[in-house]
Amino acid sequence: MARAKLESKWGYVSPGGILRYPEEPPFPVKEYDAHYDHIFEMMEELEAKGEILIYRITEEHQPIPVYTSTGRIKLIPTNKLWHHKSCGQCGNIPGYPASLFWFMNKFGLDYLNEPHQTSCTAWNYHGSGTSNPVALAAVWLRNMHQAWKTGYYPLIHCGTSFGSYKETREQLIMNKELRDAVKPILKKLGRLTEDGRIVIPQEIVHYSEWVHAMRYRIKELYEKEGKAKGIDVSNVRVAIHNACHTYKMIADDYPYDPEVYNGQRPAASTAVIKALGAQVVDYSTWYDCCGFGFRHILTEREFTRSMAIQRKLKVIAEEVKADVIITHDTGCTTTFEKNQWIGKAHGMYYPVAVMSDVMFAALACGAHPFKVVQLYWNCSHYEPLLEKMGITNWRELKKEWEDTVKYISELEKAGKYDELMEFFKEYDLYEPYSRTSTGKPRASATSNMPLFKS
Amino acid sequence: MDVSGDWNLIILPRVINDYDLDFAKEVMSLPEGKTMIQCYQCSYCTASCPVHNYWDERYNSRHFIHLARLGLIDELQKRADVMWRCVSCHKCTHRCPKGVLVEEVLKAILKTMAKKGLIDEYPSKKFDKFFTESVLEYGRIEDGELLFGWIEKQGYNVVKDPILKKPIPFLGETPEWLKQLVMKPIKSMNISFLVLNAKHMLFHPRTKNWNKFKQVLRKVVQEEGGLT
Amino acid sequence: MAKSVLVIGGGPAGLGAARILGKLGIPTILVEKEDRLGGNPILNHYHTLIPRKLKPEQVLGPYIKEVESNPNVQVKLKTELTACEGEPGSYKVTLSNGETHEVGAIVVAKGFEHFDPRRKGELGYGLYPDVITNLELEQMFSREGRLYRPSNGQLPKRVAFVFCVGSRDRQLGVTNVHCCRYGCALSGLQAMEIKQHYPDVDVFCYYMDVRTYGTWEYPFYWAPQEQYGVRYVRGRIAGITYSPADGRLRVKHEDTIVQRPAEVPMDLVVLVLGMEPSAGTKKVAKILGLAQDPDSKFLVPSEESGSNIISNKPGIFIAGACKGPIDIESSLAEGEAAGAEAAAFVGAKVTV
Repeated sequence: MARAKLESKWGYVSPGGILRYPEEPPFPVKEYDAHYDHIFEMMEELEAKGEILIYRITEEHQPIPVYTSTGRIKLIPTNKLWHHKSCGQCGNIPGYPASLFWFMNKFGLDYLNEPHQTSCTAWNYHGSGTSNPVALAAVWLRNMHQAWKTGYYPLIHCGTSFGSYKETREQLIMNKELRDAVKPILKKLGRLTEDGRIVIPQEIVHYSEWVHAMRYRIKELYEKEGKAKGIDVSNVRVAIHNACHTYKMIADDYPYDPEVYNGQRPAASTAVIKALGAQVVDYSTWYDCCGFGFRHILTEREFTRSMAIQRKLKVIAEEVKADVIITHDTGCTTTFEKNQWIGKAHGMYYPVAVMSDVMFAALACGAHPFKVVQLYWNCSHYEPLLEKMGITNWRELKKEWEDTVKYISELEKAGKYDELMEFFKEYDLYEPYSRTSTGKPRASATSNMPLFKS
Repeated sequence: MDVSGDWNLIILPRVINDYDLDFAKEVMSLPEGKTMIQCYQCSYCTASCPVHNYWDERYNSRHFIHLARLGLIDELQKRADVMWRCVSCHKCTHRCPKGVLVEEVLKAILKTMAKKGLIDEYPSKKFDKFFTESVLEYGRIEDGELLFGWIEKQGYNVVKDPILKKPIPFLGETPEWLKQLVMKPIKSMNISFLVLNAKHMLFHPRTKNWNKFKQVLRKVVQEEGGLT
Repeated sequence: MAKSVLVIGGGPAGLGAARILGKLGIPTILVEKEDRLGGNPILNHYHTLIPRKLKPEQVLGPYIKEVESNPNVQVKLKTELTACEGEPGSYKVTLSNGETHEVGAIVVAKGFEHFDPRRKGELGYGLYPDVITNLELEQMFSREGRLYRPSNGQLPKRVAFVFCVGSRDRQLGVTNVHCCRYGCALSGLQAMEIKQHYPDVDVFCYYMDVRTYGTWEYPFYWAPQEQYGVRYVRGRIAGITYSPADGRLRVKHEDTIVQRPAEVPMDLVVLVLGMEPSAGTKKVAKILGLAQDPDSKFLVPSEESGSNIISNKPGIFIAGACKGPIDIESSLAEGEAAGAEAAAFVGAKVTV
């Protein structure tokens, strides 16, 4: 029922779409009507009643359809995106969002990287059990309203934000009490529509889903530009780690694909690695979590590191001898990275490179390992991986990067900010604060002092 | 304040990685261990067991059987200190709906563990040995000597007679409980019984022709593995 | 002449119904979607049937023979019901071969389907060749007559049975919360068969409860344990992975008795599949307007009747696994009962 309804609404395969799926999903799906999918029908009903406004994905967003585990077709918008950033990513793994922006620049896609957004506060919720559904819903809806106002469609970078938003959406749709509680808050914040409705996006979309939907275009780029630079990933052994909050929170709303473990395990990340032609290796603790644990990474790190080292790093290094662990969430990437060296003290050192799917894809497509992918932030041994990928000139690239840093800091010291801004325009990256939802440069104390100052 | 947890700690996984199926085979190769296979873990035995009920919840016959059948040795060893505590009331065997000879099976498990060096001897077994030695030597036991010999084995500083090197009752260090226990009845005891006892301690009456028989007996018991 | 009866489905229940109707001299049409009679046990090559440990041919062979040779029974293979009109007592049915018939009563015996274990991705079926279904184990016995690991053709040292795959599971939605009824007993039987032929293979059953109900307790639970040393471990298998280090599978579970997590190496893992109503059952329910369980979609008997073969529609009787998991001998018996009810309904004057 629900499926027919959605299909008639989105009865087209997007014009820029690359995936053309047959009528029936070519893998066994969970009972279609039995699960979470009725949420979307209920959303339609609430909109018809005038309670909410569904922020629709339109042709402008160039959506690409993907399957979920129930066989539902989920539309992944690929253009005109509002980047909802991750707390831990920009600070800990800046190459992570940068690689994503790099791809969007490469593909000539429109996006908005704006500062008018807040944390989803789910870390607080998962770490300490404080916060509550009303607060989580208010924060989510506030951010979604901001995206809606700009006309850009929200793309969520963080796995926990993504999972938490999916869960919050379910609670919000299912519980009138919650909607009634959150409305006055949003009204005060000016985050309702003019006629007093809550704005809920049609789909909640994680960046890994974008990468998944775009994997064939990424492959084209790899073949055109990456291979031209002598890069070849076909010998690289890749162990995938799927993030808990992306695929287990509201498990029905995440991509599955017949090409990835017969549609029996989530497809995102694995599919793009396969599309690039690298070797995906299965290992016996595939389903284990990384140990991040929210509170644990802060106050009970002995658990985090023990889990990461013994249940994942050891197995991945010894059992399948992977060259790299590919993740798609901030927490997992950090955990695998920063806990490796601690094992040295206990005779449990299992060196393996760690990065996100989008960073690996960017490397394969020829992105600069230091300017764009910013591997100098990594403390795992990424050098052997670069060698194996055919990026044998990484020393020169590193030198080049170090010279760039020097140049930037000299300009900065000399107070030549105009020159610096000019430099960043040519620089092969996004321009951080160039556009905001108001269309004006960001008016803040640091607006004339981009990057590195603090 | 350090909120980073115990910074130098690595937690080892508590996952069971494999079974030791040979252990169960060994238990079931003993005649008294054969019925272990029949257990279906209903816990009728444990519910009936006085040791489990009134002494220590870790003494759990049903659980021991499960652990032994899968050969989860480390789990058995965690309970080694309580495993000897059976009071031999036989409620378990008497009531088992599956016909498991529970008490006998537990003995077989213990025997197998002891044989493999997986469990220490229960302290009371030292007394058993002392007792056996006495019987083997004289063909009978002699109360006074057994008692004070045992007290010596327990580490008390007893006074021995210079010739036979036997402990002299109550002359040396004696546990307080024993003094009280013995002195009360002794006051009302027939003097000739005390004299008889003292005589026996000194001259050790033996069973007739014991010297011949004891060699045979010792050999038989030894062959049966009863002296280990 | 008495009105005829339509029997839908040529499995055990349908055969039971057609046989008794034929014997009673009632003109009977038996439609079967596949190209031969016998249903799942015959078409899927079951090896040994519970509870009497007979071969499918031994049990169903005589039924098939009797039905095929009885002049009162018209067997229509590769045929399905497509439409039905009319009143109780005179239903006008249309078949997929274009024929229309007027029948006095209908017996529905459209049966079940085996659960597709690929819907439980974490159990690794379809990903690891050594994870097989209990149906495939049956076929391994019946077609090849030996036990082996599909990955290398060698005899496994250890075999694990994973109970309740696709049963008692809300994660799959509301459709699969029922118990399959046969799984515990069949696993006991298969485990014994393994031990009979390969005494050195260690067999483990991972269960939540062992539901070898009624008289099945001894032959399918006690006997495997007491006579063959099959080991039962309480704990539902939460995941099956593969370790390239030793080429063996790992079954992940909590041993709920020890209260410790375990990942034990296994060479062959057998998934004990649940039962779902067949696509045909759901289709026929729609055509005939039969009541279905809102969750599982199995057919449900009339609320007024105490008997479970009386449907909510007068003149339509339901038998066998289309209304819930059931064993084969009960299916046959239900089919026979439904056949007799149908005969009475069409008002046949029976002389034997």
